[in-house]
Amino acid sequence: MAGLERITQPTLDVLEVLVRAFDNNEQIHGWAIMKATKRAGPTVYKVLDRLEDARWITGEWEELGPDEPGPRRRFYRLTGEGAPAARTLLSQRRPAALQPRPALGFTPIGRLVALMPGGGR
Amino acid sequence: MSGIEIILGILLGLVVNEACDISPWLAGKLVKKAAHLKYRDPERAATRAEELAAVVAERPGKLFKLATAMAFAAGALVTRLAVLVQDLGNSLRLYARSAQMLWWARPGRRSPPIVISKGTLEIRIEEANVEQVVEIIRQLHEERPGGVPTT
Repeated sequence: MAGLERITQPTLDVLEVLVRAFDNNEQIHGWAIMKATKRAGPTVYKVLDRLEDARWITGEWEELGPDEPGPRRRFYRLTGEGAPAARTLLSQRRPAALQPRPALGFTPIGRLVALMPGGGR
Repeated sequence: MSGIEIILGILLGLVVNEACDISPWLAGKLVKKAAHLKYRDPERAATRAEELAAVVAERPGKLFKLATAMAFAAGALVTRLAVLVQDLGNSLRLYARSAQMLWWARPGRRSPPIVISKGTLEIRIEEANVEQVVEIIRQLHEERPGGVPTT
């Protein structure tokens, strides 16, 4: 596996999204990466090209049924070697990216009460 | 409002409507061309062409699709131009080096003298006289078996 020649901010953005998808055992396509990173298409694809050349990621075509016309999407995933390399890079350059993110939504009142002094009793 | 203005208004409306309708088709074509323009590797170009067409297809709105395709085309054009400039630079450097070598190797060119210096003493030997100087040194060796004086 080769290293990356240039580490840019868009590279770190894309890696951050890919690591998150890897942790959630998901695959992510180009358009979703563009949306998540808020970066332009050519910028994201330049990064994806470099990551693919370095064998940090691998792409897989979407499987379309016969009644689903149109171009196929390509899903990306960090490789077994790319994931630890990406994690190491992010921990050096952007440590906050590896912190667990608070999930959006409502916490049951009972759990909040339990956090109060005296356990809410 | 004159008759011509009315006809122009109708025609313009038709053109705008038609342009909006063909923009997704145009975007698909443009993005495929962009992929083939950007990548020299035909396999990767074909992969990206389909993939980028899928990205464009996911954009909402007809004009957004065209705008995305134009952004990809502009990016591809810039990449291709950068590669062309780099290739041109490499070719020019190669030509310049070849021309320099031909200049040095031209017939009748006078080489710079060979300079031997020791302390304040400096001897300049022209390339044409090198063999003569070597012969003199050889003769001195024969005449003085103890060695040639170094000063």
